[in-house]
Amino acid sequence: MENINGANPERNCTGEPLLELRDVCFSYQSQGSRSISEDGAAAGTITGINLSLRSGETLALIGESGSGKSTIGRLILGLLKPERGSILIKGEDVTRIKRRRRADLLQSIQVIFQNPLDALNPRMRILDQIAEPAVSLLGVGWTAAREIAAEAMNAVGLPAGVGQRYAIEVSGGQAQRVVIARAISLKPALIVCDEPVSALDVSVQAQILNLLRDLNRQMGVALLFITHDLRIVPYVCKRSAIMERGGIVETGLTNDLFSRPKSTYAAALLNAVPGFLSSERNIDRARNGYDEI
Amino acid sequence: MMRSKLFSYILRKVFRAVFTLLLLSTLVFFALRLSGNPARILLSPDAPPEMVAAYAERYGLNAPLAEQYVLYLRNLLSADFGSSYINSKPVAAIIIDRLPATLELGLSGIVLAIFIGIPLGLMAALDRSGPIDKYAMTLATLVYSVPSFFFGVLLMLLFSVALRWLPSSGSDTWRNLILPAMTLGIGNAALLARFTRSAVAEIMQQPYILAARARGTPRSRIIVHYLLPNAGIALLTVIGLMIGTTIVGAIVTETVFAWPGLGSLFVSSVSSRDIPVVQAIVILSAATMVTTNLTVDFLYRVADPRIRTAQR
Ligand SMILES: Nc1ncnc2c1ncn2[C@@H]1O[C@H](COP(=O)(O)OP(=O)(O)OP(=O)(O)O)[C@@H](O)[C@H]1O
Ligand SMILES: [Mg+2]
Repeated sequence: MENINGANPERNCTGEPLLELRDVCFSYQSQGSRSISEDGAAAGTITGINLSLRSGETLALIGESGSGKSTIGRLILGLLKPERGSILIKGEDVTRIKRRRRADLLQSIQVIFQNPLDALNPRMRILDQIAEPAVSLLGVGWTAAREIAAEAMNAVGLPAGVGQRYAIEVSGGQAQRVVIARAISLKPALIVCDEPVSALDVSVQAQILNLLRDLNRQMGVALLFITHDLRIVPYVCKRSAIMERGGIVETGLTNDLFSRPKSTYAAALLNAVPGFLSSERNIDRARNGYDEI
Repeated sequence: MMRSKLFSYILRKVFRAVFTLLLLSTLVFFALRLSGNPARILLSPDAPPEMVAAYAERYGLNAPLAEQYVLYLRNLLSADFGSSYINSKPVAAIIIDRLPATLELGLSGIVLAIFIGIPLGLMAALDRSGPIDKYAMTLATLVYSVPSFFFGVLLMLLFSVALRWLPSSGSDTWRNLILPAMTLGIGNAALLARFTRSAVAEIMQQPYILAARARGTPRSRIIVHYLLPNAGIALLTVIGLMIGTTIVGAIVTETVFAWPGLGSLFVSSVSSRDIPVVQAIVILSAATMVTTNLTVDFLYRVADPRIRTAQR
């Protein structure tokens, strides 16, 4: 596994993309449920997705509910198979390689879901849950894996005592930290964050966003940040892609995109957020101090 | 603090169980006496009146119903089920004599159901709309909707009558056990397979499984560490239910295969109107059900951290 140690993510944003989607198409309908009405045909379909993400980069995937953001996340994670197009991880097309090699490559991508409590195994102690990936994927023994887990817990600011508890016994914010600790324990190159803070209390949201941003800056882990909350995007992501009904309508630097959206859809989306005008001033404010929101 | 909570919880549950049993015993008592004087029904219609009177006197059937009921409850509390109207043997002795056969059959059926049903349901859920899911689950649904005596007769026709491989009745050797255990086990296996499939399929969609799959966790580890511990608790309920209904479930099967357990005893006692025996079997099977329910409840609390913490 590649180790990205650079403290400055900008420096790592060069060379071959870490992740690349080329003309990816997918449809839930053709996966089984064929009883779809005429007007529902568009829903659940992803078409012609092109995306690329370099090491240490942060990309936001924005769009209204049902536009297909999570579906793209699941495709990247290998939980769904694209019907057309290719998904390249470190230059290798994971849709066309042997299972074993694909598993190796997918190891460098970890995931954080919206609801941290659902993302934790209710019947395993926290420490063991964080340790488990190292055991099953790196082949380390449990003792060593628990040390790795303790380190990861420390890195995300979890007190060691939490390790002996079960998922039900931690707060939402703590649970999301556990999920993040589990994700970083394998030193991934990319974390797919699917609405990582929308289930959390507002006061906790800022902490988790700070943590993710710090991990990006300190460990150089790239983030694909799926969200419908536009306000947090400038704070975490340098680049953004906007989705509408299964397709990407606009990509670019978050700064540019938010202040001068090219597509009418993006403009409408930005204007729909109360109190969030697409002005430079707001973006600066968001970049410099999230706490105000 | 926690201890006293647990204690009051247990107390509440046990109290409810005892109350259920009391209610049921009462119901059984009155229901069985609704059909008239047992002495007259037991003896042939042309029996002389003196004989009927003597019979009634001997079994305490002359006292007012309320008095009989109080006596009945008092006897129950000291585990005295009275004696059979037919052969005057103590009911407790008759039941203890028959119990091992039913336990043997019931346990074999449950073990069979577990070893067939759980793996089948698991495989079906792991390979949704694969061949096992398509055919085995359709079969399970079919099997589950067919009464068990139908299988009993089918198995008997095939293995005893046509192939002459296995005996069709009795309980002399282990070979006698095979057909009745299969009859009993197949229905439960179908039930368990369907239940396992839906429980596992639901858990497979949980984000913690998706995350484990996304990071490439080997399938075997997902099954052992994520799936079974979480599905197990739901399966426990069904298995508990199966254990609880062992006696009731054995009635048909034991009769079809002339298996000398409580089920066939129940059928013969009903037809000979041996009320004390019928009464005792009904109460015993209710007690089994209540006890397994109680046990499953406790296991739930011990095994599931969610319930353990969430309980007020
Ligand atoms: N398992 C599924 N089967 C069929 N259709 C699905 C499935 N999951 C999602 N869809 C459909 O696919 C489309 C895209 O869903 P997706 O979950 O990717 O949206 P999203 O952009 O993440 O929305 P949200 O912001 O609400 O999470 C929706 O129309 C949804 O109804
Ligand atoms: Mg989503």
